[in-house]
Amino acid sequence: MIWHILILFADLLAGNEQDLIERLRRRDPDAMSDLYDRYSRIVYSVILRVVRNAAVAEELSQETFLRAWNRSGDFDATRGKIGPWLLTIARNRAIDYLRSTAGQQQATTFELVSSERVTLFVNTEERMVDQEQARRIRAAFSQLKKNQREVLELAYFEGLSQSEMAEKLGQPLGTIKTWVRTALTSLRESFHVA
Amino acid sequence: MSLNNLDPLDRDLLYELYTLGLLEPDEMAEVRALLEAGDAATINGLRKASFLTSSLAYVAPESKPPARLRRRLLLAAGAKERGFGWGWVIGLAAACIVLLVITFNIRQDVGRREGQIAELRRQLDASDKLVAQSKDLYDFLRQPSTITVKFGDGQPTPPRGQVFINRDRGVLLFAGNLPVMPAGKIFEMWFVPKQGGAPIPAGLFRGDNGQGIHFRPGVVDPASIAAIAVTLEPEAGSTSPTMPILFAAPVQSE
Repeated sequence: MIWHILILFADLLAGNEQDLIERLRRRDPDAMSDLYDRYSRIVYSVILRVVRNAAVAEELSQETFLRAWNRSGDFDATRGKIGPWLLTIARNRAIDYLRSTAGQQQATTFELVSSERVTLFVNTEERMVDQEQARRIRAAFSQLKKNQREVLELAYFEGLSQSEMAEKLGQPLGTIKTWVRTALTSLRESFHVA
Repeated sequence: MSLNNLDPLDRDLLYELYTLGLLEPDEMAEVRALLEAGDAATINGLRKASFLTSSLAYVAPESKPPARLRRRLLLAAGAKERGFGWGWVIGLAAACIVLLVITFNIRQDVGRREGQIAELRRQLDASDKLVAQSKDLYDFLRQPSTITVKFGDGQPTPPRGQVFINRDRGVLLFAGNLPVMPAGKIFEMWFVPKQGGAPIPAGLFRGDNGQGIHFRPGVVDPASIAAIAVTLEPEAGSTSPTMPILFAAPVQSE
């Protein structure tokens, strides 16, 4: 029963999301206002967590929203989810900044951009609303072991490769790979069950 | 590595590693090639993986962006800043007017109810006085020392009634069949002294439908009174009777 109610709410909210996407595609200026009000806090939070500098986080948040604004024309699906797309852009901008300051730009930038292709965020079967998504991931993440949480944070918030994590944590690469794989498997299972 | 050789769970993991940028360069290139070729299974797998890994953003501690960021973005998008348009002013003004009307109505209602309360309080006071008077009269009548005098019995015409005299509390008169009071006139009760001399005024009272009740409180000596008399006098009352006696009840003290 509760599940059906949640689905109903998800449908209602998804309807709002479609309306927002449609207005973004039409470049309705008020849509930017709605997009910002809905996602600014989480976008800014994730960028700040990565770059750890408020001024830079502000600048990259602006870049994130403008990038989404300028590319929203591609977001033409009837069942797309703009939140995950925006968060991917935000995280990529922040990781890109970290790498550029560390002199590590080049090939990785291309991979980051490819991970934020609009194609990956449209026609999704996922109907989870943002609040539910946040609640589930926090619950699933908290159930991971300390080393599993650590490698996921290093990968997601610091953009480290598995070799870099091995070096940073002083562990063999094989151990790091095992930790990453078990962490992702556990996270996926808990996230979809939670 | 070939994606075709992987079982579904390994594929899920592969896509998740891709979205996190954790694949080895050759694996990365293979997935990217499939993505660019529009491979449906790869795109679908990456969609699921992207949803999961992008959710990790919610693990970050919550921070509030500065307000100027919103202004800058809205300016860049050509949107107007929300919050202080005329719509808000009109809405606020309308809300104020509604509040004023409600306040005015409430005050009016409070005033009306205060008037009703005052009226009820006045009626309650009057009732309390009536109850107190009735209690006094009841006490007066049930005193063993109260003398009862009837008058008018056997007379073919009014008035007739009873007088109760109590040494300590006063005189109570019940009269019936009283004549109609002419305009500017009022009934006045008198003590007629036994020793002779002018009658002593004992209070004014009005008659209503031929009925009259009058109580003259205070100490009174029945032995000194020959009769209780009533006359019609000018409205201000008189110090001695100016009109004929309407009736007189003789007092016989024990």
